[in-house]
Amino acid sequence: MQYKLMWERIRSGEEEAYFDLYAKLYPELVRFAIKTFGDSELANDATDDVFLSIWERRDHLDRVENVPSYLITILKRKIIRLLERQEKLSNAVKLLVEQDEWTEMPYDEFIIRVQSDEIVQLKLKAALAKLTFRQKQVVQLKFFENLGYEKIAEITNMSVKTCYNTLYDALKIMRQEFYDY
Amino acid sequence: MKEHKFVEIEDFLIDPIFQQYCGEENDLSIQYWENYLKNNPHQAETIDRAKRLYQILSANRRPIQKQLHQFKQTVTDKTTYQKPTPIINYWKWASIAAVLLAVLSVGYYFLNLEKDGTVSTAVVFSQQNLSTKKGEKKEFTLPDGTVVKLNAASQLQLSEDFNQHERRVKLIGEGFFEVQKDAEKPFLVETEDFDIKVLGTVFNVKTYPEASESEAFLLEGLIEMHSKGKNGNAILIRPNQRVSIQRSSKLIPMEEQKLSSPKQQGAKEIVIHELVEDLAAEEINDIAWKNGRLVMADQDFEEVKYMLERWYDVEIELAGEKIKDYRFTATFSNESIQEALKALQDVQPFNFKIYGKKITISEN
Repeated sequence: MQYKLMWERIRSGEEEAYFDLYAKLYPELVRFAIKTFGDSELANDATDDVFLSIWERRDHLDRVENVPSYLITILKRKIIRLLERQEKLSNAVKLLVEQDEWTEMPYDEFIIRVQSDEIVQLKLKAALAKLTFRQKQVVQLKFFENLGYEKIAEITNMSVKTCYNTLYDALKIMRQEFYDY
Repeated sequence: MKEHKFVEIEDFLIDPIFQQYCGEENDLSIQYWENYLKNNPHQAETIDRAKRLYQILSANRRPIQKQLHQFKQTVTDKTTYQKPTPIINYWKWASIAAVLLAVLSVGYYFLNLEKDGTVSTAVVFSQQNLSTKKGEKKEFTLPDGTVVKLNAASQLQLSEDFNQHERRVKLIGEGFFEVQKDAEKPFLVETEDFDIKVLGTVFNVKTYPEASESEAFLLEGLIEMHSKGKNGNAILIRPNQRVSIQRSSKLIPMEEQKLSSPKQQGAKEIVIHELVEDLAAEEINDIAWKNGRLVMADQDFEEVKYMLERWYDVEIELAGEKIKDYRFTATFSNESIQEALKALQDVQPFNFKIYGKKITISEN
């Protein structure tokens, strides 16, 4: 509902609505890009490209029913273009992408890939290996997806208290792996 | 969620307000933790490590405001940029959205009517002044789905544009709020001493004009409280904290406040009490009334007098200075005023006489 209104305002050239939409949808889009390609620089550039192209074409934009999913579609195109330019697109990936099969990586894969510091990568790998599936899931939902405890409880089908305790145990293990030597 | 001590990295990272601080999501969270850091410099390294781990686990997510700022720069640099043509009034769009939301919520609160033995329920359709008489408690469902239970002798006034861009109410007396979540329209409670801003949570506000302090107590969620005193303090209340504002400090004139140590005055004005007990195990006195019980916790006779007057719809005269210092701890539910006074006599010696609605209490 709110996105549709913003979209109409952007179509009539309102700059304020445009930046509002950016602030609202940037996090979701960039997360999608990170999850599918595990490259935060690429994710950033591709997402910004999506929004830049919207503003350039603001006079010719169509009405859109579902703004977030429309933007994801554009994002996919931008990612492919950036990968082609960097010649990073392998044939296997190309095939999947052509069939519109965008598979997300598991958290313990992409979150390690996006770290620029190699020592951090090693420590993170060791720490994540010690976590259970549930613990990893709750860490991802809390810190990567940035969700509240209530929402996490809903998704994982656990009580808020259990989510909280699961996350606490996971953080304790990670802290020990990162800092206690 | 139980209040915990902050010692290890995980103690910080588990805290929702600390998470907001790391993600720079709102000013009050930042203020709160910067202030904490100032008061606990020995924990600076731990907090630093916690923030670093937050960055790693969030894939180095940048705060959206910074991200947006940088993007605006890119837009100005990259595109043949023109100032936008005539702007359609934002409020026009916002009001269309508000009307639609209001229509949607009508269906919702009809489904949501619950009867609860001790409290009568009413649905509020538009701007109204809601009130309870002495000895009366009522439950209201507001147009946005928020449920308010008003204790005896209280008033709640809805703003004219309630539920359009925001949900603003004024409270005198005591109310228990279960606020419907709506991130777009903040719920604001104005009282004589402070304003409360909330997005969706359960809390109790007590602000009777004759009491010496007014209080806010939070059960779930997070609320911001803005003092209307000279200091204009804003603070965050966490679950299981009660905040009280002393009425007396309001009487200190501005000049005097400046002369004396301003920090101490500020500390006097707002007091945060930590409640350590587990909520599930023990019911909190402040909200016992909502379940039809009157609870006194070590309160003096003046305060007890006001509580009894509101609860039983009577007028009480305290004759004698000595009895005003008596303190009582007690719980009443279905007792008559007579039974209640008799029970209090077992704690402290005094005499009472009842003439219809008037009661005189004197020294023994």
